[in-house]
Amino acid sequence: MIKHKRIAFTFIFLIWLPALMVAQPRYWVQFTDKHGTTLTPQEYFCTKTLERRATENVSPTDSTDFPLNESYIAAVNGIASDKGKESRWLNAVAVSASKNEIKRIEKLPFVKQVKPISGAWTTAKVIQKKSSDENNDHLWDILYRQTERMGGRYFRDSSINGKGVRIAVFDAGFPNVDTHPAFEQIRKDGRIIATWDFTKNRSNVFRGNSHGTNVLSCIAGIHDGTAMGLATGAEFLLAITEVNSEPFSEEENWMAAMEWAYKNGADIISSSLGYTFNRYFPKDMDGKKSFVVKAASLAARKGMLVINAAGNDGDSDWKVIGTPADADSILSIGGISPETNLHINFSSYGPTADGRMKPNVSAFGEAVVAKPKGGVEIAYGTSFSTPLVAGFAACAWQASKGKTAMEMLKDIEKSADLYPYFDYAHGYGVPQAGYFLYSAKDSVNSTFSLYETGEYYSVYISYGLVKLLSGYNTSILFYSIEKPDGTLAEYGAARVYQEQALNFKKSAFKIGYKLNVRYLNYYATFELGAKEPVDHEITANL
Amino acid sequence: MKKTLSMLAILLFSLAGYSQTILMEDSNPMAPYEVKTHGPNLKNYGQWFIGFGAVTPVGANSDNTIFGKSLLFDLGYRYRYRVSNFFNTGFDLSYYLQGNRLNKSGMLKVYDGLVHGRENIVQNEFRFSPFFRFNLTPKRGNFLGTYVDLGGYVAWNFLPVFRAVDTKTSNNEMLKYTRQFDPMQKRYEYGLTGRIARNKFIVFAHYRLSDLLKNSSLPDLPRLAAGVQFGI
Repeated sequence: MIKHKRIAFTFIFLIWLPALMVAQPRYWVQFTDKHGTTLTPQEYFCTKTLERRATENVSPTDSTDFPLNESYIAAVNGIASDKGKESRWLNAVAVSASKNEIKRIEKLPFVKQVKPISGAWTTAKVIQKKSSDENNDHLWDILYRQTERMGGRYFRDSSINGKGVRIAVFDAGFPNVDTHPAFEQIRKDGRIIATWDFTKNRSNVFRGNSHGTNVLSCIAGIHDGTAMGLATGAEFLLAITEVNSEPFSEEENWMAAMEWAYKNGADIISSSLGYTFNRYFPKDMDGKKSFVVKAASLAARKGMLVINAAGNDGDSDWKVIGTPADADSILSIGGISPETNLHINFSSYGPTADGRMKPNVSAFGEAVVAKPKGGVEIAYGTSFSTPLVAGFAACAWQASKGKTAMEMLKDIEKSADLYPYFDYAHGYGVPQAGYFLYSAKDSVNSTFSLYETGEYYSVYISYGLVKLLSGYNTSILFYSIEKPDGTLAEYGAARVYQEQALNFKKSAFKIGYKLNVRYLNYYATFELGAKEPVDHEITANL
Repeated sequence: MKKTLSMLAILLFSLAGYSQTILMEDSNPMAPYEVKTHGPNLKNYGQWFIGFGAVTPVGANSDNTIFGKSLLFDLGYRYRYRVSNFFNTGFDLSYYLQGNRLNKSGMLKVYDGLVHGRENIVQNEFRFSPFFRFNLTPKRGNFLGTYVDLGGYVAWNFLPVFRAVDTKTSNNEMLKYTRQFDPMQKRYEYGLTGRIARNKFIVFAHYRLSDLLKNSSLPDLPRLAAGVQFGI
């Protein structure tokens, strides 16, 4: 029996051994103040940022860009095992520490809070690499339409290409951006303003994962004279923030990159960052939980437009958007299918956990991207919808000089083809260039009629608008049932074959519920839940 | 026939004109946010698993088993209750099959006094295995993460089998002898269980504390078995 005991103890020890070898967790240690620190803006910021700060009347006492208090950092370093990046905006430093060390750090009088750092984000979902045959009709069709779907020709006809707008791209690597023909014009014009690899602390970013090269091409690449993105005249800041082998450092890198981008004059940040099940539960997607949300929101307040992928979990158990796409002040981008013009299956759905509408807008989730080794190919993911919209936003901003980031965010939403209709799969739809060049959209008159028949409400559309043999998206009717608090109880899309386009059970409408319908350029709202009984037609509110 | 097909096609086409084709719909957008209690990192979680492994030399008094040919198979259901982020508890219910291939030098002749070409002691068991789980990634979302399970098992050997196979050298004929409900094996046993796992990939080990054979004068069989399990 003694022998058994010895073997049993050995057995338990061997089982526990790998557990003892697990790396220490990382935390953000946030301080209470920046007592005793100062900043000389002229030395710290680039000219573009200084101009923006002057325009926006940033107070000299705004300490968010001040450095951290060195004595606080030293005190934390004295306890923690390893120090990581610092965040001026959040007044925090990243550390590796054991539970006991964290308890000691939390007791320091100048420590406001300690939060664990997330790990493992997602980049693009490259489901399938299709043929890279450059004569492939499908490839050329997608290439042409990925910008045309956003009305790209209107920007091109007006010589708008994002000139003067600076876009920061955060990704996992940009191999061969320094040699690939798709980026020749950018290199020739010297429009890669700054680069930094936050994972290795060096300036060379033309290495690593090809995802960043793919993404950049969707903003500004040119393939055989055809623009892959709309901002072919924009300036760029390229940052590597993602590294698969050290997932816990990614959040630190992303926050540091955000401050670096601001310092270097970025107007727009295009990022495919997304934390989901690794750290959070769906209920946490309320735009408040994560540190990156705070940083992204601060970036928006400082005048940068942050554009982030909604995520690629639409067809997984997670289903909803990740963080920081849940942040209020971020333009979250969903994906649509070029074939159906409807939500592409993997694109993550809204709303946020607290019921706010997300994604904000959509773009193609299937796009032609530059391959680092030369040529192009088709790739899938909201990671590619995001740079398509980033390129669009740069052009829109060029056409709307003087507007703030938040005004641009609202305008991009308004420009979308479904606006004011929205749902949690498409947001407001695909942004349209025409909105920024030709002011308001065409006025819309109701073309819908709503009738009560027995247990149903029936939506009718005019006979002349039933387009059986029409092309993309023109015969799709979008509908949503809206609750009194503005959230959607139900939504969907149907193909219109006949005047009696869609039927709804009356029982779907509780008190205060509305029916929103969108077809072609027409939009109507019917207030049904609280209405008095009617016999026939119900009038729409436009 | 042609006419019928044409009529059918026309009918289908005309019916399509009167139908409502929903291309996409979501009738409960808030469903992902509804409070759930069942999931990999929620209060309750159930998981089917399948395991494969081999007997190891650990715990054998002598070299009685041919290692590498003594294999095991495990199929069962695991229930886990989350007490805290770090500490969970639960149990397995499983069907467990282990074949102990005997080495000619030791255990042969123990059953019938004859030397056979190949001999196997086979355990067919139902196992109940309670365990404690220690999560090494306590701050995580709704996935299993990395964890260590420590526990024990009690097993009912519901079908102990002894199997012998001889090959006659003259005409290469195979002679098989199978003894169901082998009286030499104990019907109940117990032991320790340990696992280390990352999500649904699990490395496990069982250590048998009880004896397998009733006759304590016989050399014992190896006690430690190890292998991999996959959550289904």
